[in-house]
Amino acid sequence: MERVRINGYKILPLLISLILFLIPFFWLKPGEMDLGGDSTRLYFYDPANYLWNNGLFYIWPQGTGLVESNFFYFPFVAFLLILKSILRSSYVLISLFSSLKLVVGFLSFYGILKILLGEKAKNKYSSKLAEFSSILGGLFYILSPFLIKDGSWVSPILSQNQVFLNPLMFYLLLQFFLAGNYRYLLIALLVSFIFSPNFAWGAAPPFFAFYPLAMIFLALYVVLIRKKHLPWKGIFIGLLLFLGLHAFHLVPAVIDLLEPGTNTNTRVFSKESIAAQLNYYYGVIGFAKASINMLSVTPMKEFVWASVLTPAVVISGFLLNKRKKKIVLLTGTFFLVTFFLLTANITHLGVKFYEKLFYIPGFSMFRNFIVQWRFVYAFFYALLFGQTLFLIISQFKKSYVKMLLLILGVFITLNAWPFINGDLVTKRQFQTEVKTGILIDPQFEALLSFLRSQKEDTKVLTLPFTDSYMQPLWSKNNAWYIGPSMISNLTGKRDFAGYQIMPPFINVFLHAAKGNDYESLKRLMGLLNIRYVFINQDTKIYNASFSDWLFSYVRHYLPNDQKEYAEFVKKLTDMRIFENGLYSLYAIEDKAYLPHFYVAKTISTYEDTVDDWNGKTYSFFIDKKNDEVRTAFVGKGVCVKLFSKKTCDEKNIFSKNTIPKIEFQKINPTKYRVKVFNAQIPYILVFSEAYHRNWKVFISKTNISQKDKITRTYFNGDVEESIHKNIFFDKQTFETLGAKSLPESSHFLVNGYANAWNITPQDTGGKENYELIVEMTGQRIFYVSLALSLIVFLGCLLWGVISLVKGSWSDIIRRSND
Amino acid sequence: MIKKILDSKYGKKSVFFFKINKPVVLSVIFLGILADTLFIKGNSDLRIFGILGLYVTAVSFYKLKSRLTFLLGLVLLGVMFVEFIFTGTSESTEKAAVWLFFFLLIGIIQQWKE
Repeated sequence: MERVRINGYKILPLLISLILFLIPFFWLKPGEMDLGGDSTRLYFYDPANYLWNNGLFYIWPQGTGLVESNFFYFPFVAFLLILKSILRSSYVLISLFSSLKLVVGFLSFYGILKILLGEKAKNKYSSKLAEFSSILGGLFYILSPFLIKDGSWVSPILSQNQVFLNPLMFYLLLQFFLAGNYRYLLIALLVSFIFSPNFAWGAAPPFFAFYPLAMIFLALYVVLIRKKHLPWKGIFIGLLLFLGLHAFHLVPAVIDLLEPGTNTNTRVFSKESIAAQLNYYYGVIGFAKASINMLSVTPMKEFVWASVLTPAVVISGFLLNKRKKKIVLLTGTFFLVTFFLLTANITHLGVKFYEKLFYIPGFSMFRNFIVQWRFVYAFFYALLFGQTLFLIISQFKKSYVKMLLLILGVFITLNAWPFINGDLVTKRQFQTEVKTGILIDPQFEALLSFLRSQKEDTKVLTLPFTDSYMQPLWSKNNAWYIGPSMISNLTGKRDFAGYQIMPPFINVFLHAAKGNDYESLKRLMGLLNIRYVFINQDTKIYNASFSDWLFSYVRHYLPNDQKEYAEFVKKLTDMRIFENGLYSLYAIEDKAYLPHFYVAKTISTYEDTVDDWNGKTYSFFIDKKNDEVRTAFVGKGVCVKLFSKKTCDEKNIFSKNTIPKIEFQKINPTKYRVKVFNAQIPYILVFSEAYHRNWKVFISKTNISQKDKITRTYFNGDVEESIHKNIFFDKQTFETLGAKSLPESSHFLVNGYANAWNITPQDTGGKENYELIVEMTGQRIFYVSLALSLIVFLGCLLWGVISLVKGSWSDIIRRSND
Repeated sequence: MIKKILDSKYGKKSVFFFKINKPVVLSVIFLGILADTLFIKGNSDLRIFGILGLYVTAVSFYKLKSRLTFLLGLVLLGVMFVEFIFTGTSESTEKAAVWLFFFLLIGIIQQWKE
């Protein structure tokens, strides 16, 4: 039997991987979870509810329900859901993901360098040096100051997984380009599908920062240096499969991009928007420091002097590049390009040139260039470091080589010590020193369950109200959650947690609150379909010194401490329906509340000339008070178009007649059924959801012979709410396909934000009792593109299995022949 | 035109002068860079690109190797590092970093050509 000899240095990468794997398990204590941040990581805590509220429907889960898609979450959160059901612990899941990032990032980078250096290694000793250079390059990448400082590595932005995905995808594509083996391509495609958030429109800046440059580098390397042909057929197939796999989020995103007036379209193509992006660019340019970027300054103050080592290695490597290795020069060129893109502030001419780049459609996504290019720069810096290190140690005496490698290894590790020991990971929250690993309070969990159990389709006002859209939550282990509202993301009840969520009514809200105008506040809440007020009476969240920035603006208008907040809520409502510890939930009285659907009794017009929503909304509540809650506030121009001028001037146009009764049922956030009874005259159906032209009304073919079970009635039975359903897909999903919707001319903006339809007996064929289907038609695009993606995904899986079986079979035949 | 000037009597004299004074010329250029980095306040593109232009001309005139460029880059790294340690990200540190960037750029272009 042949004895296998393993050289010590060959198991070093595995040993390092094992250590890297274990490190994140010490960052948090068992039970703790790091969930906060700009785009939250609540999917680690409750993937099922997060997926339902975020990944499946064309509606943003907070506030008035803007039409925005987060479909890219679907495969990623579904994958987490499977893992969570196996692991049963969010702590283990979070730690495992951190381990995955470290280990896969390190091994992929090591693999890339081994390939690039392997070509140069001419003998056994040289191979050994290439091995060590690859290990140190991999370590330098994964522990790079650019990735671990300022929370870059851990900050829960949409694209945080780029830390390991960038080298992994680069490695797989490099292997595919060199060997033409489709298995690598297949793995890359499947990985991209699972980590779709990194390949989504929302992650466009990091995607477009890395992949175009990486692909150009790979192509130049293969063609110029390895003198091989690019596998064009494979690239084409790969591209097609990539588009197929990602169709479920790319198609809706492309439609958004091409639709004039959408946020995406404006941001990419509008010249005014480019001017705004340029302002941002000039705003952050002062923070761009060429010296910091060149030196790779460690977060360890004691080792700042060691920051010179890396650039010294790089420049010395060029000095010793006697054979003018093209791969080093190619990497060096990309290093300088990314250095410029990351720094921008290189001479006045450089700054001006950078400014001109913003006029390339889409480039404005890099307005925050000091963050967007950081990962790409770290990648090429580490790639150059590994190669130049190899050039240096190839010309050193053996005894010096060991010493140099040891010194560099120790410094790379020590420089990243605050990261390794978890300080940078668990004690950084929005540039504060506050701990992030929270333990969710069971009393708060009880509140979430209670809200989920409430049958009404309604919204919540979350207090204390913040300056942004964040919700702060203090945990008993003295850690904080500061991130998007848990109520919106996990209960299915959308909430208004801060300033940014409440346009166009924010100024009205704040001024009414300051002026103790509780009647206007109640009317406003009713108009926004807010039935519940949640108040977290924890004094720590409102009075903590570090969290002052969360409330600094709104504090001028709203109560100044928790005691005043309790008084404020009491004046709004005294109907407390839930209390557990510090968490209370109140319900607003029926008198001022407007359900999700209602039929307007009155039209009130306002001047539609001033382009200031905050000004207009005053006319709704303060300047034009009326007693009728079911008022539809309509712009004068729109009103005259829809009705006669006389009608628009006349008050109480509908209340003279009998308005129809309605009964509504939610099927899912993009589809509702509204049964209408006794509709003898034209009426205005109001749907208190953010206006979008893709909300359409269809006349259902279903006869409404019987009434559904009712959960709640309003206005003496004029509006009834049925038991809602939560159906993502069933045989009735496409029932409106091909059906004619009410004409677009009857659909208009009402109450400053919501949808309304003017429905006449002619629209319904003279019927008095019928069922309407109110549907967000954009959702259909998701269903169709998701089906395409799933077919391609299953096809890829099948292809993988077949290729695996074939490969194993050929191995068996080859071995038996041997 | 340039050829005509170089072939003229004064042109030939000048070429001869620069040829025999290579160390002086290079020292003057490098001292200019150090002066800009350490002693002159404010940023001037004219100064930076002027000196860089002189250096590129010197590279072409003296047939300088990339090694010298990288060696000067190493010196600039030292200057930048010392400035960084003592003054943080001051104007002079940033200037040194910008000079280093340009020297790396020239060095890499030279190596591609070599």
